Amino acid sequence: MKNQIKKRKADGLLPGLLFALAFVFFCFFYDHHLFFSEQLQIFMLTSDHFISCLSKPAFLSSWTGDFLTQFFYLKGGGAFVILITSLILWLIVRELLLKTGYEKKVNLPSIIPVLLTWAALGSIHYPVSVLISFIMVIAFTLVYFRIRTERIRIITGAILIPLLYVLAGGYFWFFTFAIIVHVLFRSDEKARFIYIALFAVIAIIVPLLLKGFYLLTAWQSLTYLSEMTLRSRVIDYLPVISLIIILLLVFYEGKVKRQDNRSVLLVLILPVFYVISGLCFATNTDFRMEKILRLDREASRNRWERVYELSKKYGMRNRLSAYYTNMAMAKLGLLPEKLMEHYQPAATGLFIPVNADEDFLTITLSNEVYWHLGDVNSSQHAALLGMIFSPRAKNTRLMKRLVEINVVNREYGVAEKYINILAKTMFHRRWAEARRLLLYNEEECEKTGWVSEKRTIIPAKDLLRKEGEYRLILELLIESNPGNRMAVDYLLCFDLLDRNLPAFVDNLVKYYRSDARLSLPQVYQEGLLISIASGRNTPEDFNQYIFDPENIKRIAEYIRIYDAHGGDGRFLEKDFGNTYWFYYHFAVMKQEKKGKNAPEDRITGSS
Amino acid sequence: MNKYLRLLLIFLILLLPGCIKQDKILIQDKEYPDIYPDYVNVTIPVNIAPLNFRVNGDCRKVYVSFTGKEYGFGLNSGRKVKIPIRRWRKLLAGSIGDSVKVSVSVYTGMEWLRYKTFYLDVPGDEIDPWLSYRLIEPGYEVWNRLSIRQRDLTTFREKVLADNNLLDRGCINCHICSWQNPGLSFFHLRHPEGGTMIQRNGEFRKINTSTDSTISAGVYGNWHPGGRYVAFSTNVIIPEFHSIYNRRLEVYDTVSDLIILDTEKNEVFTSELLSQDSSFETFPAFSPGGDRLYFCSARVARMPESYQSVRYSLCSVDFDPITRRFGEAIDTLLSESRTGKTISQPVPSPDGRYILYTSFDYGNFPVWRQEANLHLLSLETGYADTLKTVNSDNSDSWHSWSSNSRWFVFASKRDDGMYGKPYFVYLDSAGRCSKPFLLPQKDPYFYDSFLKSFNIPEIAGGPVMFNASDVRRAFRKQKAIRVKFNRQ
Repeated sequence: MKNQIKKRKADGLLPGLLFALAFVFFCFFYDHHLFFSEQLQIFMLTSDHFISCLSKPAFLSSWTGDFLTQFFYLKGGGAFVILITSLILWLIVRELLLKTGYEKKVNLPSIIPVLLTWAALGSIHYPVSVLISFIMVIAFTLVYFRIRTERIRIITGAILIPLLYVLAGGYFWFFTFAIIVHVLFRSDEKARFIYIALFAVIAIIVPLLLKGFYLLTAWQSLTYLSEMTLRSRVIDYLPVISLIIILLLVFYEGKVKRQDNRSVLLVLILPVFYVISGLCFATNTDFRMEKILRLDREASRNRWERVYELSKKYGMRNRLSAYYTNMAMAKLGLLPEKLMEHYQPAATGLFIPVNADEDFLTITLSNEVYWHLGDVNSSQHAALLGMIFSPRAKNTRLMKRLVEINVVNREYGVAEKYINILAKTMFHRRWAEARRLLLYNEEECEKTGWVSEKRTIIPAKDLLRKEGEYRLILELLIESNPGNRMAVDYLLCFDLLDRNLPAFVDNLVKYYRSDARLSLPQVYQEGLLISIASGRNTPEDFNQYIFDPENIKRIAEYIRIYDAHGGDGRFLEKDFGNTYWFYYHFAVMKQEKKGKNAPEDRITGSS
Repeated sequence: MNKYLRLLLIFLILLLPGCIKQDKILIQDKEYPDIYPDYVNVTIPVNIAPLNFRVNGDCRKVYVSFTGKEYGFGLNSGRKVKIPIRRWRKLLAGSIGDSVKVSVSVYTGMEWLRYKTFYLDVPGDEIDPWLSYRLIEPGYEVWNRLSIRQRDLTTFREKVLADNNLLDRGCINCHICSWQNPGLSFFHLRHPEGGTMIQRNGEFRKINTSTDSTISAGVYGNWHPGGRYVAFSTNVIIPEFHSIYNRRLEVYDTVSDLIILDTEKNEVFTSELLSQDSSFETFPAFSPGGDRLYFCSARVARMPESYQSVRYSLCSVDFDPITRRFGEAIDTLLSESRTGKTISQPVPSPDGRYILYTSFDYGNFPVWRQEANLHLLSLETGYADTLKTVNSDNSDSWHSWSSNSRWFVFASKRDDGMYGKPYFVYLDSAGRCSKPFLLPQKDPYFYDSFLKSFNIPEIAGGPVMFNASDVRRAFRKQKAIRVKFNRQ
C-alpha cells in the first residue's frame, strides 16, 4: 500500500514540477509577451462583442479566450490563467486516458499535450482561446465515451462534430479522430466502417459548407483556430496530434490485449514526445522579442533610465532594440554622446518603417518615436495602421494612443469614440474615464501636463510628405519648435547614420544650439572631424566649435592606420570600433528577417 | 402549502408600495430628447427599417409613443429603443403623406421627464430598398480587411458581396450599379490576378482595362444607361500625409484622363477632348439619357507643389452611344473660377433634373476634407444649392441616387470626423432637401464600437445576384480579358 502511494506520488511529481516551472516561466520570464497579447485585443462584456465572435468558427472558445486574455493585463494574471487552464487540460486529458483504458502512470502521457500547448503558447499567434478549444473538444469526447448505447453514441457523435466546429473551431478534428478511433477499436458492429465514413464526411463537409458564411477559404475553414492564427502552423496542431497518437496507441494496445501497456507507449513514444515538446518550446519561444517587449513596456511608462539600463544589459543587435535604445538615449540627452556605443542598423534604428514589409508587431510599436518627437500626425498614421493590421483590428494599446493623439489634436469626437469603447472593458475603464474629462475641455487640457506639453511641440505648419520622409518630418518639428532637442538629435543622428555628411554639417550649423557654448557631443565632433579629414570641409569652417584634443589625436591615428593597411577595418576595429569614423567606413547593412505577418502592398485612398 | 401562500402574500405586500408610488411627470417641452442616431424631425421613406435609437444622458427607463395617422403604439424600454418591425411597418404604412408623432419620456430614477415631441415625415415616395457599400478601416492609404456588402434597407439583413480574405487580400473597391440596376454592376479587384469585375445578371467577366496607351486601369467609373459602356477615369493617384492636425491625408492626381469601356467589344476608347495634356479629367458620369458625359476638369499644375491651387470645374461633352462619337466641344457647367471651389464626384439624378456633386477648397478627393460639402445643381435653372440642411462640419461625399430621384444617400464623417456613415436625404418635388438621417441598425449601439467606414454607398433597386463565393470563383478561374485601345 505504502509502495503504491509512493509510486503515485512519484508519478505526480513530474507533472507537479512541470506546472510549477511553467507558472514561473510565464510569470517571470515571459510575462511581457502575455502583457502584449492583451494589448492586441479588446474584450467588452457586451452583446455586440459576443455577437461579433459568432462571425467566425470557434465562437465560444474565442469569447472565453478573450475574456481570459484580459486578465493578462495584471501582473501574474497571464501566468495564472495559463496555469489554471492547462491544469484543467491536464486533468481532462488524464481522465480521457483513464476512460479509454490506460491504467498505469497516466500522469506522464497526459502531460504531453499540455507541454506542447505551453510550447505553442510561446508564440503570440497562439492565443489562450485555442487552449480553451482543446479543453472543450476533450470534454465533449469524454461525454461521447460515457454514452453506453452504441446507436445513441453514434448519433451524438454525428451531432457533436458540427456543433464542436462552431463552438471550438479546427480542434474539432480531435473529437472526430477520437470517435473514429473509438469506433474502429471498440465497436464490433458490422456497420462500423459506415459510421467512420459518416463521421469523416460530416467533418469535411461542415467546414466547407460554412466557409461562405464565415468568409473563409476552404483551407482556412478546415483548419481554423482563431483570428490570430488564420495561417495555422503545424505547431498549433501538435497538442492535438500528440493526443490522437496517444489515444490510438491506447486503443490499439487495448485491442491486442497487451498485458504491459507501458511497453510501446512509455518506452518508445513518450520520450519522443518529450523531446519534441522541448524542441518546440525552444523554437517557438522568442526571448529576443520578450526583451524587446520589456523595453517597450518600460518605455510606455516613461522609465527611460530603466530602458537604457536594460538595453545595455541585453546588448542586443537588432533594429527594434536599437529603436528603443536610441529613444531612451534621446530622452536622457545621451544620444549624440553614446550613439556609437550601441548597435546601429542605420536609420532603421531610429524609425520603424510603416510599410508592406513590416508585420503587425513592429507596426504596433512604430508610432512611439513620432509621439515622443511631437509629430502626432505621423504617430496617428502609424497607430491606425498598427490597429488595422492587428489580428482583429482592435487593439487597446493603440486605441489609447489614438485617444491621446486626438486629444492633443482637439479631435475630441474621434477620441470620444475610442474612450467609449475602452470604457466598456474591465481594466481600461478607469484610464478611459480619466481621459474623458479632457474632452471638449480646453481648460482641463491646459492643466494636463502631457497635453499642453505635446501641443507646444507639434508642427506649426502644414506640408505634404510621403511615408519614410524622416528628414522632412524632423526639420519641420525643429522649425516649429527650435527647442525640441530630441528632434534635433534625431535629425543629426539620422544624417550621420545615413552617412550623409553634407546634410549633417548643414543641419548642425542650422539647428544645433547648445547651452555649453561651442562644446559639441562626441559623435557630432567625430562627424565634423571626418568631414574635415575627407576634404569636404576645412577646419576653419568649424571655428565656432571647440574639439576635444583627444579626438583630434585619435582621428589622426585612425587615418594613419587606415592608410597604412589599405583601409582594412580589422586593424581599426579594436581601438576605433565605437567611433563614428569606423561606422562611416565599414558599417554594412544586413537584411533582418521579414516579419511573419508582413502585409502585402495595399494602397487605397477612399476610406 | 399555507407557508408558501403566506410567503407569496408577504412578497406581494412588499411590492405594493412600488406599484402605488406615483412618479412625478415633468414636461420638458423646450428640448428634444438627446437620442442617437439623431432622428428628430427627419423625413423617412415608408419602406425603411425601424429607426432604433438610444437615449443618452441620465435615464433608467424610457417610454416612447409613436402616433401615426391611422395607427400608433407605445414602447417601454431601457436606454435602447428597439422598435418591433411589424408595428413599425403598420405605423408607416398608415402615415403616408403625413407624419408620425414621437414622444419620448425618460425616467431618471427620481422623476419622469417628457421631452418635446418630434415628427417623422413620411412622404409617399419609397426609396430603392438595397444599399451596397464597402467596409474599410479608415487607415489613410493602406488596408487589411475589406468587404463589399449590401444591406436591405427595409430590414436589417446584410449580405456580403465580396470579401478580400477570399481574394488573396486584394483591394476591392467602387461597387457601382448601372442606374440602380442590381443586375448590372462592376467593381475593381486590385490584384495581379484581378481586374474590373463586370457583373451582368450574376455572371462575371473579369476585364483588364489598362492598355499601353492609357495612364492606368479604370479608376472612378459610371455606367451608361444603355448598359454597354462604362466611363472611367485613368489616374496616377498619390496619397501624401499632412503634418498638422485636422488634416490627415491628401490624395491628388499627377495625371488623369477619361476612357470609355465598351463591354461588348472589349475596347476602351477616348477622345482628345477627354485626354488633354493640359488638363486633369476625372469622375465621369453619363446623363440619364446617355447623350452627355459629365466630368470634372482642371488645368494641369505641377504636383505636389501646386496641389492647393488645383480646382476642378464641372464640364460635359455630347456623346452618341450608337457611333461612339463625342461632341466637338466641352461645355463648362460650373467653372471653378466662378465658384472659387473645386468640384468632384458629379452624379446626375435619374430624372435628369439635377447633378449632385461635392464642393471643397481644392483637389478632387473629398474624403479627408472637412470642408467637403454636397451641392445640388439644378440643370433646369443652373442654380447650385449649397444644401445647408444636409451638410456638416466634416466630410460629406460619395453620394448615390434612388431611381425615383427623391432620395439620395451619402457618406458623412459628421459624427466623429473619422468614420464615414451612410446618411439619407429626401428631396421634394420643389428641390428642397430634408435633414439627413443615419442608416438604422438593429442595435442602436452598433456605430459606437464599429471601427470601419461605410465607403461608396450605392443605392440599388434589388439585391445583386452574386455573393462572395461567386466573386472568389470568378477571381480564381477567370483570366482577365485585355481590352484594346481605340483613340478617336
